[in-house]
Amino acid sequence: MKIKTIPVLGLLLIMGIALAGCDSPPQATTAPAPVAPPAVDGTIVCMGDSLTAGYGVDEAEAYPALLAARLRDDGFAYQVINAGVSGETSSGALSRLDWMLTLDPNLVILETGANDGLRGVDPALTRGNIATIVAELEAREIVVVLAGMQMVRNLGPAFTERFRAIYTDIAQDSGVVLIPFFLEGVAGRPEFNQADGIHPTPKGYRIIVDHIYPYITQAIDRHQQRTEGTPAQ
Amino acid sequence: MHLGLLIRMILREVRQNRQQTAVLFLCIVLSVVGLTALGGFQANVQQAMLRDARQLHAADVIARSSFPFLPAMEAKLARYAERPDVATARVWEFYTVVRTMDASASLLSAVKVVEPGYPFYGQVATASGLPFTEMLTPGNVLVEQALLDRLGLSVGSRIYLGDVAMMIRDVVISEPDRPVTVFTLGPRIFVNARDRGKLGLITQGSRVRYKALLRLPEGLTPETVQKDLLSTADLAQERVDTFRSADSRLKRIFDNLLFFLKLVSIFTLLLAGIGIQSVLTALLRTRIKTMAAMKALGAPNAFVMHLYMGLVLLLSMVGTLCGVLAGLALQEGLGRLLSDLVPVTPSFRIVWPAVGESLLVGLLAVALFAARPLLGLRHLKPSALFRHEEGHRRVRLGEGGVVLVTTLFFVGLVLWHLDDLRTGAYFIAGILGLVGIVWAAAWLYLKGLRRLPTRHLVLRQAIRGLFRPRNATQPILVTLMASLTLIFAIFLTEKNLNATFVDAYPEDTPNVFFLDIQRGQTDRFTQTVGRTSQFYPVVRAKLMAINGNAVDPARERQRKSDNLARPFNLTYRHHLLENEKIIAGKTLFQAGGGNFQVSVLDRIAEIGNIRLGDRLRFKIQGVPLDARVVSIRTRTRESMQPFFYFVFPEATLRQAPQTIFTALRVAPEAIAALQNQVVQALPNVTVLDASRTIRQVADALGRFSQAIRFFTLFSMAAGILLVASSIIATRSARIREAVYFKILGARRRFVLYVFSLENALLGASSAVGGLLLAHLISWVVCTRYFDIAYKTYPAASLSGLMAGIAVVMAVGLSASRAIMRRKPAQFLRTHAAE
Repeated sequence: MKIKTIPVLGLLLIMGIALAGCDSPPQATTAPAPVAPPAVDGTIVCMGDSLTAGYGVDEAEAYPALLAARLRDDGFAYQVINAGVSGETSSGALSRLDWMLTLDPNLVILETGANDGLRGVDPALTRGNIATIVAELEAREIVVVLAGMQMVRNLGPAFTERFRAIYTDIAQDSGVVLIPFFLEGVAGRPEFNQADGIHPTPKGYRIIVDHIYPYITQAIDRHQQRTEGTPAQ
Repeated sequence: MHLGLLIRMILREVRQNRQQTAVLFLCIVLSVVGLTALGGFQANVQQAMLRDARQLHAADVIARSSFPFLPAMEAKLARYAERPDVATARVWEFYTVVRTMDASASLLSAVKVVEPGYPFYGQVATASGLPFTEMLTPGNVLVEQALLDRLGLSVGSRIYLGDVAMMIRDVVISEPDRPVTVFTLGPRIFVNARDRGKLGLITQGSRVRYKALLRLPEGLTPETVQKDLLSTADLAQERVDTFRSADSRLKRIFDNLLFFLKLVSIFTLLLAGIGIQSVLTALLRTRIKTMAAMKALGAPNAFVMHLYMGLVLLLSMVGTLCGVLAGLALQEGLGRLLSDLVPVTPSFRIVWPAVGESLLVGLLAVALFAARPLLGLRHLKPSALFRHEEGHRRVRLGEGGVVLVTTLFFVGLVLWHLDDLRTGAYFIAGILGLVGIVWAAAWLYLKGLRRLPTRHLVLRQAIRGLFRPRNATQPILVTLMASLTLIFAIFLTEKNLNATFVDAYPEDTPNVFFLDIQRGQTDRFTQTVGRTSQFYPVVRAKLMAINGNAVDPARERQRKSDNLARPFNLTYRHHLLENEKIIAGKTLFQAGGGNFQVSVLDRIAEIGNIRLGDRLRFKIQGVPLDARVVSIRTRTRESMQPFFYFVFPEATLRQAPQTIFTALRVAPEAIAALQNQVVQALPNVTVLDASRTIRQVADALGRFSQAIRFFTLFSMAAGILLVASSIIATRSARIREAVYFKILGARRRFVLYVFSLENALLGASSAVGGLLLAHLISWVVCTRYFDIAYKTYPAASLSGLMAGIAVVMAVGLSASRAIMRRKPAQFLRTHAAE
C-alpha cells in the first residue's frame, strides 16, 4: 500500500537535475566486449558524443557497430570501439583523452563539438579543444579522422558560420582526414531522425556509414602506410 | 402536542447545563467542519486544476512536432482553422544566439515565435503591465529580464536575431505555458509571427519545435479533435495532446495532500463523535433524577425521550449548520492559502453536493453517537429516584445494534472517502487495533496502580480517586489515551512529512547548477564564484551485466520506472551524504576490500533486483570495470542535493574520465551576473538557473504544510474537547468526593491537590501511553505509507507529552472549579437521598 507519489515533484526535480547534471540520457561505451579478438591490424576508437554513442538506439545499430561490420565484410581486421558519451562537450572530450588513450587506438574518429554548439558555447573554445585533441593524437602517431559538424541553423548565420569553420580550419592546419559533414544527407530529414529531430534512427546511421566509409578507408590506408613505414615496436 | 412545553424544557435543559451543552455543541461543529471544507475545496481545486492544465497548454488541443507538420496534419489543421468557432495559432520554439549591435556580447536565448491569439488561456505578463499583444508588434521583441542583465541592455535597446536587428519593447515576467519543471539554457525572447520569415532562422537544418494551438467551442470536445488529428498523424514525429491528457504532477501532490487531510478529518469526526457520546452520557446521568421525577409525575416515556432527543436534535441542527458555515469559511481560507499554486485563484464556490454530504454525515454521526445514551432512557424507571444505580448496566440488544450501525457507518465513510478498499481496510483495522491495545494497556496499568503501595496521603487519595466506585476510570483512560494517541500521531506524522518535503527546501537550497566543470578547473571555479561548494565528480558509464547476466536494453526500455540500460552517472567518495544511510552492509565500503567494490542506492537495487554481494559489470567509455556490491544505501529525505545510484572508492574512478558538478544558492537578482562571470572565466561550464522552479516548489510545499497544520489543529481541538467531555462525564462523582473531603475537614487546598494529582496521574499515564502508541502508528504510516524516513523528535515528543498532561490537568481543574466552590451543605441538601 505504498504511496510513492507524494515525493514526485521533489523527486522528479532532483532526477531532472541528476540527469541534466550530467546531461541527457542514453549511452556510452563500446560494441560487444572484446571477446578474445582475433589478430587485428589495429584498433579504431570512435570518440564522440550522443551521435557516436547512439542515443535512443541500440548500440548495435549505432554507427561504430555498423562500421565494424562493414570493415569486417571488406576484409579489414580492425577492432572498433564505441567510446561515445551522450551530452559530452569538446571540453569533456579533451579531459578524457588520457583515459581514451588507454584503449591504445591506431585510429580515432573524432566526432565532438555538437553539444558545445547547441549550448551556445563560444566557437573559439570548441576550436581550441578540438585542435588540442587532434594535436595530442597526432603526436602519438594516431591517425585522426575529424568528423566535421554543422550547427543547426536556428542559431543564426553568424554563429553557424564560425562553427562550421572550426573543422575545415583544423583539418587544413593539421592535415588530418576530414569528413566535411558527419550528418550529410541525414540532418534535418525527419525520415532519418528520431522524434527529437537531431538524433539519427538506425536507418540514418546506415546512411552515415555509407557516407563516411570512404574517409575511414582513406585513414586506414594512412595507418597501414605508417605501420609499413615504421618498424614494429 | 406538548410542543411548547417540550421546547421550554429543552431550553431549560440547555440553560442548566451550559458547560455540557457547550462541549456537546462544539463536538458537533467540529465533526463537520473538516469534511465540509475538504469536500468543497477538493471540488474547487479539481476545477482549478483543469483550468490550470488548460493554461499550461495555453489551449484546448495542441499538436507538436520537431519538424514542419506533414501535409495530412496541415490539411486537418487548415480545416479547423476555417471553422469560425475554432481559433488556431501557431508557435515556433527554438534556441538562437543573439548578439548586441556592436557584436561585443552574444547569448544563447530561447525564442518563441507566436501568432496572434496566443495564448488562448492565461496571460503573458509584461513588466509595463501593457497587454502582450499590443507590445509584440512586428520588429519588436519581448524578453526576459535575464537577457537584459546578461547583455547589459535595457528596454529600447536593439539586438540581432539572426542578421536582423530587433527592438526590445518590454520585459516578460511570466508566460502561462512554461512548464514548472524546466531548466532553460537561456532567457526567453518573444517574436511576432510576422517576423518569422525575415529572421530566416526557421529553415531546412534548423531545430525547431513546431506547435499548433487550438481553442475549441463548447460542444466540441478536445478528445474528439485529438482523435481526429491523430488519425492521420505520423506518430513517429507528430504528437497531439489535450489539456486534459497532460499529467499534472501538482495534481498528484494535491491528491496526496487531500488524502492526508481526509484521514485527519475522519479522525476528527470520530473523536468528536466519541466526545458527543460521553458528554451526552454524562449529561443524562446527571439528569436521571429529574427524568425519574418526571416519570413519577406521570410523564410518558415518550415525553422524556422527546425532551432529550429534541435537545440533541436542536444542538445537532445548529451545530451542524455552524460546522458547515465554519467549514465553508475554512474552505475559503484553504483556497487562499493554496491559490498561488495554480496560476489563477480557484474561485470560491459553494459545492452543494459537498455541503449536503457534510450535513448528512454530521447529522448521522450525531444521531448514531447520541443513540446509545438516549436508548438507555427507555429503561429508566421512576424508582430510579430512590436508587443509586447510575453506572453499570448491561448492554442491551438495541444498544448493541447501535454500536454495530455506528461501526458500519464509519467503515462506510472511510471506504467512501479513501476510495481504495485496501487502504480503508488497513485504516479500520488500525483503529480497532488501537482501541484494543489502548484498552488492554489501560487495564494493565490500572491493575498495577491499584497495587502500588503509597504512604503519601495526597497521592493515596488521588489513586483512590481513580478507583472510586462508579467512576469510569478505565473508559476515561481509554478515550483519553486513544485521543492523545491520535493527536500525537498526527502531530508526529506531520512533522516527518514536513521534514521530508518542506524542510528539504530550506533557504539555502541550491538554485543554480553548474555542469561540465572539468578537472583542474575547480580552483578557478571557486575563485570565480567567490565561495566554496561541494564538487561532485561524475563518471558516465553503462551497466553491462549483473552476476554475468547481460542487461537487455530492449527489455529495460519497456520499464516504466528508471531502467538499467541508460548511461549512469557514477561517482566516488568515502563518506555518506548527510541524507543517506546504509540499509544493507556494514559500511559504505569494506576495509581491505580493494577497489572493486560499489555501493548501490536502494531505488536502483529494487529496479535491478540487485543484492549485497552481487557482481556488477560496468563499462566506462570503453573500459570494463567489475565490482562487488558491498552496501546498499537509501536516502532519508528528499533534498535538492544530487544523488548517485552507484558510488565507488576514490581509487577506482579517480583516473576515469569525469566532469564535475556543483550547485550554489544565489540570490535571484545576482544570478545573471554570476552566469556572466562563470561563462567568461570558464566558457565550457554550463549554468542552469533553477531559481524559479525551486522558488515555486518550495512555496508550494510551504503552503501544503500550512494546510496540513491547519487541519491537524482541528483534530487536536476535537481531542481536547474529548478530554473535556470525559472529565465532565465524571463530574458528579467528583463533586461527591470533594464534598466528603470537605465534610471531613479538608481544606480547599487539599482537595485541589488531590484533584490535581488525580488529573496529573490520568494525564501522565494517558499521555505516555498515547505517545508510545503514536510513535508506533506514525512510524508505520511514514515508512509503509508515505515511504519516507522516520524521525522520533524527542524534544517535540517531550513537549507534546507535557502539553498533553497540561491540557488534561487544565481541563480537569476547570471542570472541577465549580465543584470546589460548592458548599458541602448545599450539595448534601440536593443529594439528600444519598
